[in-house]
Amino acid sequence: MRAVLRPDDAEVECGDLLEAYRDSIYPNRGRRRANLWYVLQVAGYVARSHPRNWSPQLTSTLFLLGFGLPVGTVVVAFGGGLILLVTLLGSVATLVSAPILWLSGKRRRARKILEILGAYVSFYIVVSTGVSLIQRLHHENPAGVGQDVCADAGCFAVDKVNKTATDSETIYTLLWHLSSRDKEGQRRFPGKGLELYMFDERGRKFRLSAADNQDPLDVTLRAGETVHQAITFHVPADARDLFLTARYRPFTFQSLLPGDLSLLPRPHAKMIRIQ
Amino acid sequence: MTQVAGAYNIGAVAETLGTFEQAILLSIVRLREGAYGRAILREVQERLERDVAAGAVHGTLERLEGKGLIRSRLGLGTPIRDGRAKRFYRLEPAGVEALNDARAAFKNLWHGIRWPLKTYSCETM
Repeated sequence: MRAVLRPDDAEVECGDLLEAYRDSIYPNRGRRRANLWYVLQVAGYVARSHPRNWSPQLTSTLFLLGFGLPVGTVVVAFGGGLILLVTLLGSVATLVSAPILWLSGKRRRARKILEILGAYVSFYIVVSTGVSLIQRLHHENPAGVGQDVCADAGCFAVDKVNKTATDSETIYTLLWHLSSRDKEGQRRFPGKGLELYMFDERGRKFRLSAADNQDPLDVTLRAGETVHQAITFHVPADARDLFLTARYRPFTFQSLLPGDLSLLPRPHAKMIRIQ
Repeated sequence: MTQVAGAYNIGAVAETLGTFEQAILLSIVRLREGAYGRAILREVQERLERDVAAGAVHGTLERLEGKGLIRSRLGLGTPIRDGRAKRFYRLEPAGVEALNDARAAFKNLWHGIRWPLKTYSCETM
């Protein structure tokens, strides 16, 4: 009753129901039927309630169920780009309209939509963190040199590693290939903004040599085609347990998908053990 | 709209009050100072001779108050309500006028027709 009526109305209406229950319904109908009557009466209030009287908690919950659930389904079905788009549009619309409502005297409504936005952002962060946590729990073992790492579109593998040691560093030249798994047509791989890098057991990150193509995975392949390339990393001589992995650079579209906005540090994606 | 001299504005009444709203307003008239939610519910149920949902009465009272036909004030609670406040209602002048219009419209609509209707024929006129 408190969720669907104004606070003072909820108090009064609960009193009316209680009075009816005690003075006539319970004595005439018995406990079970009286309880059923009470539940049906409350259901009647809920069914007839006006959204303007709903409590912020109920509004937020319904918003999350009515908005978050379909959006979640879209994410699962079509990838995370749409949820980011909807989130950004919704946030901008809210942050523009809230001050306008506030200045035009509709402060209660302004407060309510800000509360809804806050609840949604909290929900988003919780989901992002959950996604990140699940990814950690299902962490895959790293592949080795010569082993394919496959996704729907194709397979990636480091075929050979050449090392050139100097006094202060080791230059790693990785020869790799990317193969299309498609049966027909051609496909552009989503490698734009995808950074390949190596890291060691201390978490130090080693970027591609400046002379190399910085987006080596941004390629278009015909069905069944394979591309071979070489990339170079300059790694300090004391680096141990080296892995190759990839991640979208900050502020690229993909980098803002759920999982990347989580409160937990994002785990490395698929990895290949180099040394 | 064509209006019979001295008659009430039937169109306006039809737009203003429904049957259930009239029942609620008349309950408030009958109950006078004792017109609060539970009492109105009981009165309406007795008059309409059927069960009425408390939520329906509450929704209608809220709507009538929104139209300016009634007004309400909070009163003290009683032990049977665990001390919860009662909301008492009383008619505003606009509510009295709306009821009068409704009654007049009802009479105008039935004017010249014998009641109760048995079978429709020109003899009923």
